[in-house]
Amino acid sequence: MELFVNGDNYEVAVEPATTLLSVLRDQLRLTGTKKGCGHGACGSCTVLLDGKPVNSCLVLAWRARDKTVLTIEGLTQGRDLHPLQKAFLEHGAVQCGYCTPGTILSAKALLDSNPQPTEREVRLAISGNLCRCTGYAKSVEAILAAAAEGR
Amino acid sequence: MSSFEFLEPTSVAEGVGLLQEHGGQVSIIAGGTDLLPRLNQQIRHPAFLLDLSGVPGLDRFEHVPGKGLQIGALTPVQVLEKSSLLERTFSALAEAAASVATPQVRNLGTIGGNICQDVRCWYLNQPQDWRESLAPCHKLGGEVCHLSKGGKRCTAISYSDTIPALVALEAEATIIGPKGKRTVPIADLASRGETSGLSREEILTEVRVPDPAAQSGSAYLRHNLRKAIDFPAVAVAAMVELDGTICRKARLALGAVVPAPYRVREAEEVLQGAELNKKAIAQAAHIVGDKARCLSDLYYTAEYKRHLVEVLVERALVTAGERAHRC
Repeated sequence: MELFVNGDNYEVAVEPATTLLSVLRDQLRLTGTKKGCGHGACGSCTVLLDGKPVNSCLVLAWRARDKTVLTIEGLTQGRDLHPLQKAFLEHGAVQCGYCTPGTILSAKALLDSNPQPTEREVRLAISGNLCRCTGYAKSVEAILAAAAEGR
Repeated sequence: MSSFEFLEPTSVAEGVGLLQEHGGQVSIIAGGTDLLPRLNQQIRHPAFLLDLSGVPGLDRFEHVPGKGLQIGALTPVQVLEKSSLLERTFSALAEAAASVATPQVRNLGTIGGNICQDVRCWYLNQPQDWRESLAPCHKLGGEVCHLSKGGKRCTAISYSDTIPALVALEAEATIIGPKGKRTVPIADLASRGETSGLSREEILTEVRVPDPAAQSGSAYLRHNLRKAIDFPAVAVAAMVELDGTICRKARLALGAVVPAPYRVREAEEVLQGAELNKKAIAQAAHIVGDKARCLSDLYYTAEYKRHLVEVLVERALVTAGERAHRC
């Protein structure tokens, strides 16, 4: 089947039970998207599906065949980091880095539809991305900074 | 998870036909946010997944003034969460939708799936090798219920957020099967350890929520251990219809306490026909706290749940009343 990821068309072979997460990591070697819990409770597998954050561990690959997928790798343009990626690094929001791809993608979806969110809106937007390291403060700060930068 | 094949009907009738043809070997997949964890935990082993996303019209979301909402079963929960119409006029449902899991799950999960989601208990929701350390329960072909020790039936609890809100708003489900179409109040969708009283050959296609009366308000409150992600530990939905200061109609529903949708009629009766004031609200809340059927689970004991729902009922009635007054 065809999969449209980060602007490219890929031809992949999947079984009905193959998840989108598995295709991205194991076949396409896009390992920025992580497997955390496998049942949609941690958000480390978050990707944007037609612009909306979803848990790729809960999406069967076959059902993503007509859709646009964006992973963390798709945010970088050549060697230029996306403003969100830069902000996360500058504000110390990356510790172990495991939740980072998912959190950044949730944040990107927020800023795409709401460029000037309140802090509460930021926290709600990343409420599906668990982080054991940062206590969320730096991540929220980074997202608000990236939003301010975009003004 | 074990392997399966996709069935991809392009009409509800075709879907029903496929359900009939393949007997109990089919699981319906909508958003997949309840089904996939079940498959991963090896609780279900369907040979086929009936994918409804190719059936046109099942995600239709319309409001017909004077009649009410028509919500297709495949409407993502996120659509309900973001609807300003729901926020204004069907507040309990908007609040319930916003409470479901996480933004990611709300983007995939559907209202139909949230209603039909399987019941949950500390035994069932474990991986297979953990469950094998105890005798299989009723849902797994065994003869015990570990939640209600020695119970003859499954007593796993219904944790859906939208069900209590839909019950309070007097919503109905449209269900299509081999014998045609039937309409069932969500309050009457019994869950005997199975999802929502549908037979194996039926598909829930739509939810209808009647327009609330002119001077009415509703609210949904839940208590849970974290601010997001978790299923509710307990949930309360309230709707009141006022005539001046008199409460003409009251609906109170609880979630996460028993296996099925649950209206607390004794408390509703105390409110109806009387002035909706602090005393009446406290009285209704006390009845719920005293008499509500609650089952203990991994979060809280039955006794503490009764305490929690008493507090939440009071708050929900106050909010619903304020919203009714503002109409």
